[in-house]
Amino acid sequence: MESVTWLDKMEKLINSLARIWGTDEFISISKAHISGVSYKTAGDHMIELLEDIAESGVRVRVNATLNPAGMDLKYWSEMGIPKDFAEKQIRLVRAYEKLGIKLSLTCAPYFAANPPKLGETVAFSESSAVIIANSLLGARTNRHGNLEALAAAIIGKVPKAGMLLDENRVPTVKVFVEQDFPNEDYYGLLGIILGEKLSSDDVPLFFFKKQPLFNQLRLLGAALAASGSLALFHVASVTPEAIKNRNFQQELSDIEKITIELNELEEARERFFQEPERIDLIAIGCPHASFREIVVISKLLKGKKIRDDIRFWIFTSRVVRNSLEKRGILKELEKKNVHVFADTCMVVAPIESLGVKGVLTNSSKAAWYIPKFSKGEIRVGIWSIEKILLEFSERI
Amino acid sequence: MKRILEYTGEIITPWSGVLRGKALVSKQKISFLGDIDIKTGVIVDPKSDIRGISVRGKILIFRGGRGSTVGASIIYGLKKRGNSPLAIITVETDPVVVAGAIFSEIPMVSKVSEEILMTTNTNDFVEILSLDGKRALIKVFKKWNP
Repeated sequence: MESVTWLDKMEKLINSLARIWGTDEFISISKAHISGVSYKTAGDHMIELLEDIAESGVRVRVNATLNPAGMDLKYWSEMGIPKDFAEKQIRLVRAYEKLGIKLSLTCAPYFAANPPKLGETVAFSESSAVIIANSLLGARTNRHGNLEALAAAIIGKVPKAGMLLDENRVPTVKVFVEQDFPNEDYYGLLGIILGEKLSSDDVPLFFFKKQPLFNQLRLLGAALAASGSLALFHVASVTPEAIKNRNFQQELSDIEKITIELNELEEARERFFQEPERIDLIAIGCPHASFREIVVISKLLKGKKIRDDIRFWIFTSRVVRNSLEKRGILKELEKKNVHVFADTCMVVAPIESLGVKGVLTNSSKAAWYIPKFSKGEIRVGIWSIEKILLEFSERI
Repeated sequence: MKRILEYTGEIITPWSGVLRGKALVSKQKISFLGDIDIKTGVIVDPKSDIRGISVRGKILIFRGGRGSTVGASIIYGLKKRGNSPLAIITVETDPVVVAGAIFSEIPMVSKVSEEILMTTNTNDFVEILSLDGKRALIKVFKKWNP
């Protein structure tokens, strides 16, 4: 293995991708986001591979961030994570760190300082980070596997293809939502249904009656990416490229039109998600909760607390958690039996080894993935945050 | 009596000289994470048409990769343990297998006609040589018993 350097191999991988995607042009990237960080999903052999790569001295050449790991790096013991898992997880994170990658450990790299801007080319892996960067920020990235994103971060460029090209970012279908959503969880259900109906190359353009909020669109994007592998969507008069292109009126003469009714979304909730018999965990934060979302939960719990027999966990980035701690909000939440964990999430943490068999969440993406990542052992129901707080809180 | 069938494909990972070996052929896609035992190179997926057989030292000819990107680290791990195939030939080009082959320096040819999966049998003798650095020629030696 001495003959070819790791730098050569990374270069070869990027060049091979270009040939697979039928181009010989490349474009520089400003940032990369790398997945494959949880020991639960990556495993021993990923550690082996990454340690070998890091040992060679090769380093990333652009600002690179990491996806969530399988545990809170500081409070893994409080989560109930087994010690042997923790040791392996730490090794895996150290290998990425040695490569010069920032230990952001969040699926929401766009919340950090200096997020990607309109038109900026980046190399993101992790399906929700891709679709949100493309759709809500107007940045440009393809869907990359974790090793591709790593190679791109080391070489500093990607093939000029796919979602980096204007022609692939034009809407292919119009989606009309005539009724207002009662709660934010409907955005996720919308993503799940459309992910089923559309192909991964489709670019839906949504028309809503009321202007959706950023965090509501995050739930939509994460679900579209999870269920249908979509990489981009637009919202008329809301998202940057829709605004820039005047809702694409010029280009859209006779593309397909879909209308979604509320009852379809209710039916999707029944069809896709089996409500658990008992709840072992209420998990919020897929994608990672923003500072504001957590503050809202805290406000909704004024004069109340979560029942003691319930595990209520919110997942977010270390940066957000530190902010909450600094402002005393973390302490307030802990008094109400709400625990905030950083660096990880309910999908990639080994919750099945914590005895969790039933989960309640407001995230369609989490509900979609948890059964798959736990070999069907865990059942997940989707409720809105309001409904969850109503049901599981009590007055203090 | 012998018959030689010829196929061409794109070189993904280069090699020098002529590669010679016995074919191990699957008509299916392989997910390296889960389908294979890294300690022995044996295919353990119960649904595989080559289950129970080791890929070690063989010219592995299959439809293509599927499944998690972690599969690339399994291919790398196979190579480290001396259990990897001598070469990889695929019809479809999956980035996971490509990454695995490049990182492990396992010779790989892809975008080969699907016909190769129908005509080549496990244990047929195969030769692979580079035509121009970009494309390869694959020769399958069929034994014909009249």
